[in-house]
Amino acid sequence: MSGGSARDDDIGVLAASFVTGLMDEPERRAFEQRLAQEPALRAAVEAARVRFLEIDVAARPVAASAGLWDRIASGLDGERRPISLAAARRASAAAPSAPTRPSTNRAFWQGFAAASLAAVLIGGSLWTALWPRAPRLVVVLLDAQARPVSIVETFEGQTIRVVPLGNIEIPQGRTLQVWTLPDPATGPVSIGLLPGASATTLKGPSLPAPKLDQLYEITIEAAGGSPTGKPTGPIVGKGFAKAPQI
Amino acid sequence: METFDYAGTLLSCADGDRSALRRLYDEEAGRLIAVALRIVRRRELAEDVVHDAFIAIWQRAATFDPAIGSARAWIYTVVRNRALNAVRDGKRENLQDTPDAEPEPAPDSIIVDAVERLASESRLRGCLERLEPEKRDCVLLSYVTGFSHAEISDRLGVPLGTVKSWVKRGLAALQECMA
Repeated sequence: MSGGSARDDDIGVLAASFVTGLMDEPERRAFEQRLAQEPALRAAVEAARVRFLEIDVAARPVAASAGLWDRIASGLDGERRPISLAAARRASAAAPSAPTRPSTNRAFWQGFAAASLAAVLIGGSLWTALWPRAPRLVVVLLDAQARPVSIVETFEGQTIRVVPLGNIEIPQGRTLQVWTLPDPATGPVSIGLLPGASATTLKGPSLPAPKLDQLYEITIEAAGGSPTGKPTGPIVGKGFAKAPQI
Repeated sequence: METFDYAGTLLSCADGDRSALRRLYDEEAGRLIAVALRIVRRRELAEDVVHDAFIAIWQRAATFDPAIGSARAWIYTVVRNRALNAVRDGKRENLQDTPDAEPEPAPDSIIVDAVERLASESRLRGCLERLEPEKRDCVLLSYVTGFSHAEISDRLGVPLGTVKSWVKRGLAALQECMA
């Protein structure tokens, strides 16, 4: 009906801006936080997606190159195939940033892997030397320029170990806070505060065991932690959990 | 008429059934490449986007919740997000500088084609055609070719603030018309 309330219209327009890809990074981040908490917004996004989908499915199909399927099939096994092709092509450029958007972060990670740095970190025994227990999952957190800033290792029993890679500047009166996103529907969850830029073991709240590709990030927050319980400050680094081949 | 079971296919993928991913590929790869191509504008890169998207679909199929949304929209969103990421931050221009780039259609003709490809009785088409041209162009340049506000501003030769206002009003008018 055309007599929807102004608020309904706003939600619809906001959702459509999100779906068309028009939001800039801060807007998208704020929107995705709201999305995690507002079912009405999620419904509006889904409605906008379905509405605009009609344009996509009407596109004239383009014949795939011979071999595209074989490339995909050979990528399915995780047979130590660390890079995505699109990411590799742009690996030398700065990666975009979208903290709660798995596709972006995966590209982020893969772009980094493409630069062979991940291969060095994973191939080596960096964390086994630093820490006798084998981690279940390992995350390399990258900054906005795709530079590695920290490693997060996850262990049994809600424990993680954060190993900064170099100094992290913490403004006066602020602290570093570590987050994870166990489920986009519930939003980011704090694992704890870092007292400084040195290796720290944290025991997080009771959460499901970390999953492959689960997002981790470190933000700069007010002393004592984010006042809202959700990340509010600038992102120091972020990345997705990967299974180490030890 | 659509008979392909997208949600069921994703569930099978989540169960590790590769033949399901292959069926999805056979059904949709051509259109997904076309959608990526409208955004990244280079065939080779569009295929890379679709390649990566299929791997992601395979890995993340279990996270799709049929109770929450359309499986087909989910699949296209995976491809669209990857294509948008590939061109963010002005990379589109860099990409076009490569000597082997095929001649590509201009954004204007891409968006005209996108509307003309819609069924003549499509409500969306009717609503798009009813929009004022500059607002229609803003909406389509953003969704179809993945342009940012700044890129639309460059393309149309109008200030950024004007573009933002046109986009917003275009999206609002479209929503009103479709409601």
